[in-house]
Amino acid sequence: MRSFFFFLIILLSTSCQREESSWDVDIVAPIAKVEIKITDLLPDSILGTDNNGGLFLSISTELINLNPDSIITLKDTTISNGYTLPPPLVALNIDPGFPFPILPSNLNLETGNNIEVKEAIVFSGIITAIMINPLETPLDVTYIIPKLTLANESFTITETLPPAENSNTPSVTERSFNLSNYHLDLTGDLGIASNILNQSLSVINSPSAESVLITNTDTVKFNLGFEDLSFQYARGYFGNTMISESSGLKLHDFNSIHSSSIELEEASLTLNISNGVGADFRLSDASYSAVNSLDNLALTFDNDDINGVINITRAINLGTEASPTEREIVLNESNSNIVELLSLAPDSLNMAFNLEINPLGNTSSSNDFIYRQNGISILGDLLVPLRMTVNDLSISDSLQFNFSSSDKVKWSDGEIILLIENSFPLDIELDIQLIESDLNNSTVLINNALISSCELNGLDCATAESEIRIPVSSTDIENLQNGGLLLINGTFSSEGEIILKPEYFIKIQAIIDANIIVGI
Amino acid sequence: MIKFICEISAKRYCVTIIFIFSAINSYTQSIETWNHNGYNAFSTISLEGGYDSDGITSLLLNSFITGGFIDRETRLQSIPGDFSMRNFGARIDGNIDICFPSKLVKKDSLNLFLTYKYENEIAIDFQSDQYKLMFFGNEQFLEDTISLSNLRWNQWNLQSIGIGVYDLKSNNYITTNLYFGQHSRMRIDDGFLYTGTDGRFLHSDISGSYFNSDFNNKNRKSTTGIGLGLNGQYNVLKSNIKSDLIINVQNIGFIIWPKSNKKVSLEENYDFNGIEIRDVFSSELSIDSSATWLGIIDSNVVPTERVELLPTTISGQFRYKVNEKNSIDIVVSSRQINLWRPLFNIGWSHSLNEKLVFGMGIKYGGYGGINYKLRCVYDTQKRWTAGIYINYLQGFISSKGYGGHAGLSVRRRMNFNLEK
Repeated sequence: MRSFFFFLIILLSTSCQREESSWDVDIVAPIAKVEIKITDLLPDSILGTDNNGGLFLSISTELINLNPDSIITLKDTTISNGYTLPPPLVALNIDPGFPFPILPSNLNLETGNNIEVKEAIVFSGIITAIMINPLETPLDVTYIIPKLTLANESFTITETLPPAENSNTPSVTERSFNLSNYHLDLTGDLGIASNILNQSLSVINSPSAESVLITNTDTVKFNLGFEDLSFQYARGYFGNTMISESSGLKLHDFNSIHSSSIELEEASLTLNISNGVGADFRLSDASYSAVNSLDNLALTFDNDDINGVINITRAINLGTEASPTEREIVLNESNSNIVELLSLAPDSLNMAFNLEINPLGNTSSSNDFIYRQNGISILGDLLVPLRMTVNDLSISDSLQFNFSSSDKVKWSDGEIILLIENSFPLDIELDIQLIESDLNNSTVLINNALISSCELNGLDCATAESEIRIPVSSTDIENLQNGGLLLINGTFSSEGEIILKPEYFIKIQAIIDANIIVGI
Repeated sequence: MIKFICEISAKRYCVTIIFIFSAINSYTQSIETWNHNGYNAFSTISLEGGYDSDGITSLLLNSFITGGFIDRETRLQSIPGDFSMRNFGARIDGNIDICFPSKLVKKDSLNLFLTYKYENEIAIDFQSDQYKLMFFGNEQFLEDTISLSNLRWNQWNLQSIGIGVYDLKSNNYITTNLYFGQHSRMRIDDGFLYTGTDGRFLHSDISGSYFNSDFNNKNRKSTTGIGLGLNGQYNVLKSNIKSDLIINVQNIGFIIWPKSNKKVSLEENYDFNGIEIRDVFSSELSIDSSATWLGIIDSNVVPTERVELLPTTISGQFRYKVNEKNSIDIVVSSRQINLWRPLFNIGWSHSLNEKLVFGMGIKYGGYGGINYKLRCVYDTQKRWTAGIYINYLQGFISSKGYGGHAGLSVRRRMNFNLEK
């Protein structure tokens, strides 16, 4: 009967706010699996397979590409034209059809690096005209650049400027024109100058207008601006210009591979230098280096060709394009220290040099040329057969699990079992640390657990199986749920030289064997 | 009181394969024939709750009720035999009735009868393997098969309001009820779970079905179906002084589930050897936990509005008055609900005096086996009558007993001066 009253009391009072019921269960279940191949570490696009089935690393990249815009730099240019009543005149009544006396003049395109352009074809660019009329009468404006032509028609602006509202508020008219495909003759009136365009401006009081008084404080303005000009073809003298360039080639994204852990057998870096510009250039003060950021180590390429001065003669003008001058420089284990550099396990290859255009001056009599599709380029092809001896190559990665925690299921105690199949001819020592979210505390979950190498039998390698048991406490699980990190480090070693093959894999299956508290 | 019941039900409806405290309605145990003592109106409040089982001990159930950690010993006590089925049912219900004379009812002895009832019932059929999996995990089944066959789950949550007539002379009544409810059920006809060597893989093969009136409705207090039904009671031998034969019917009718219900048949073969992680070198791993059974169920669902019969209960009670102080009751009940077997009761009542009646009995069936009951009714012979019932006694007197059920009912008689 006591139970009965207990029952009723429970029913009437505690059931709604009772403590959670819980019990423990022993669970064995797979939770995750992963298969890792070389292609997970390196993208397919930079991997290849040789005739023996061995992998090689092949990275082609454009180290330098100088296009016409890099070689011929044109500044945005603004030119002001106009008319003001000349002294001693103070005021003048002008009739309809009165022409303002404005003489033709030259405009000078500003270039960088003392470049003298004789002629060019515009690839893109805009010309903007801002016309200001301070008079209370309409003005007819005609502006012509005779040697800026498109299909033999000179560039012309014809506009009637509206009258000013009053003497203090002039009318402003703005027009923009696309200059694509226009031909520029920049040789001036005599055909011997550079960077010069003739222009003529005509302003008349509109014939249909009335007479109006102009004073010496009134200025009719015509401002012209060239913006973002670039050429698809240019001829002239491109100056004696020094360009400093640098570039880098990222080899991998791991910032955890230490140096001195890989001994490569062979490697090559082929530099293809191409000069598509009708001007000589010289490469000097070149510096090529490999960098291991983790160990803060760098080594410089040692090769007579690239450490000296490299002269590349001008391209040949074929009329509509250039025939580039090319040169190939091959760096390999026999003529350079490239193997030593790559054994640093570098994460990037860097290069820097000076490029001097027309090192001997204006030897072409101002007939340097450039086509938009041809520039100066250096292509680098890195070829590394993945045949190596591996000594304590360390790769680290961190994992953060983003899983929702449930109040109904709690980890009590147990193990995570890793079942590993390894077909790589590499022994791997595995270390796993749990880093708490504050990054100040860590727990070593496993230390130097061995994943056995496959067993080499001639050319074949039989997959080896390993089992690693990782004890995990409830505190560890809480740390992971609270944003902790798993820091995983694998240290790879080979017995002698190995050849990496695309079919090699590591399969890992994670299984929990744990006591779990289930709550209701 | 009603609010209290609702809160209890919300607590209990959390998980599958959970033993939940509740009750078996007493109308399947015995039918009270109230004496109205000349009053022409009454109101009744009843609250009953309990569970019945042929395998779950009261110790285990009390652990659920009181909360806290359930130790291994307690769980071991309820392990079924290897091949036998175990049954568990729990129910809580409460009702408020008001009966009073009304101009709407023309016959003198007939009164207007208004009712409100809340019913919440859960039943589970399970086997040894399923119990062991639930309470001890799958480690003991390494390289072995866990039978999931014949696992059944059934759950009803009904609220109803009724209007009808009540005959004070015979205690006959009939009401028409409007129902609001939720229902879910699951059955695995055939199925197993195999745990591979060292837990390297899990393989399951399941054939069964599942229904839920509104899977997306997380608020279990709310109702998703609406229905119509009848309750009634009729004394067949009302002219007989020595005996009564009373037929009682509850919840004859239907309920309509809206399109949000889910009904699926499952024929699923499922292998699992871990979630595949493809981009292991990404800085942050995100584990997709959406590939669950619920996802499989969702993929098979076609929304359709459904009509379903209510879980009807039909009870018959024969009461024989041996003499002025003693009577014998025989009750047979049948319920149209899965997992519930016909219930047989036999009881003896003794009037200690004109105010106090004491009774005892034995039952077999329902969700459990044999159990014992006690009953005590006190009638002031004026306005008040109160009854306390312990319909399943075993669970209250022994921690190793099965089944516990108790109820409380209070009736107040009144007089209405109504000019008809």
